[in-house]
Amino acid sequence: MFKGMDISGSALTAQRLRMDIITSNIANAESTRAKIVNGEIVPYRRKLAVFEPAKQSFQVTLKNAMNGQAGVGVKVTKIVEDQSPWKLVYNPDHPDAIKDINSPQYGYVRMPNVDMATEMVDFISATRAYEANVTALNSHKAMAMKALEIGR
Amino acid sequence: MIDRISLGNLNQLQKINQIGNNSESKTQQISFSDTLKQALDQVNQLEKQSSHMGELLAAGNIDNLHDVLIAGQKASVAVELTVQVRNKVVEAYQEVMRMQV
Repeated sequence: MFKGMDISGSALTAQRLRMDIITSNIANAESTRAKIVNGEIVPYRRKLAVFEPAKQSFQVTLKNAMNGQAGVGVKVTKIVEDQSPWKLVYNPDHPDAIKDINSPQYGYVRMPNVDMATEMVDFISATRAYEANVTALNSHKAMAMKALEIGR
Repeated sequence: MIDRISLGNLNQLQKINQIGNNSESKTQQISFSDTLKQALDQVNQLEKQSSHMGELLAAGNIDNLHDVLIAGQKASVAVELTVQVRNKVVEAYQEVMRMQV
């Protein structure tokens, strides 16, 4: 009976995790030393969440098919890094500026590929998705309570 | 080791015996009191889960706030439904008792 509430709950968890990732992107928008790849210091790459329908066990799927029910929750399965190129900002005094005189990027600093406008839009989208799921949950409860008014 | 092997066989035989006995007893009807008890157990389970979540929240161990609230709502809806069902049953009983003999 409370399956709809569980599905909404899983969606709320997924959206909250997405919010955490967006917050991390915004906080690290200027982190030039995120990790070391092949001996080279590499800036922070923007992270994205991958949503997938939650995997259900065979028992649950069989029970749903027999009872004529449906509905599956959502889960964040992977957190992938955005592979777009770095932003180059000219700042020769920065400690991480490229110091190789022969390189065409001499004096440029590689900044994370985080675009504030995109992050703000994602943030609003996650907030609205959270609110939509809360509304769905409230509707579930309202339907259950309305059923009590049958024959009153 | 030989003792353990024979004990293992004995356990399996006992289990097969129990399955046979269970299938016999299931042909009896499930009484109303059993159904009622099962329903009340479920409601109790939801209540315990909700209060456990409340304790975790007070201790600061909660990851997702909405989980606490969803558990609270589930318990509240379950209790409300049970109360309404009980009201109806009591009303039906009183209706029967009002019948003039």
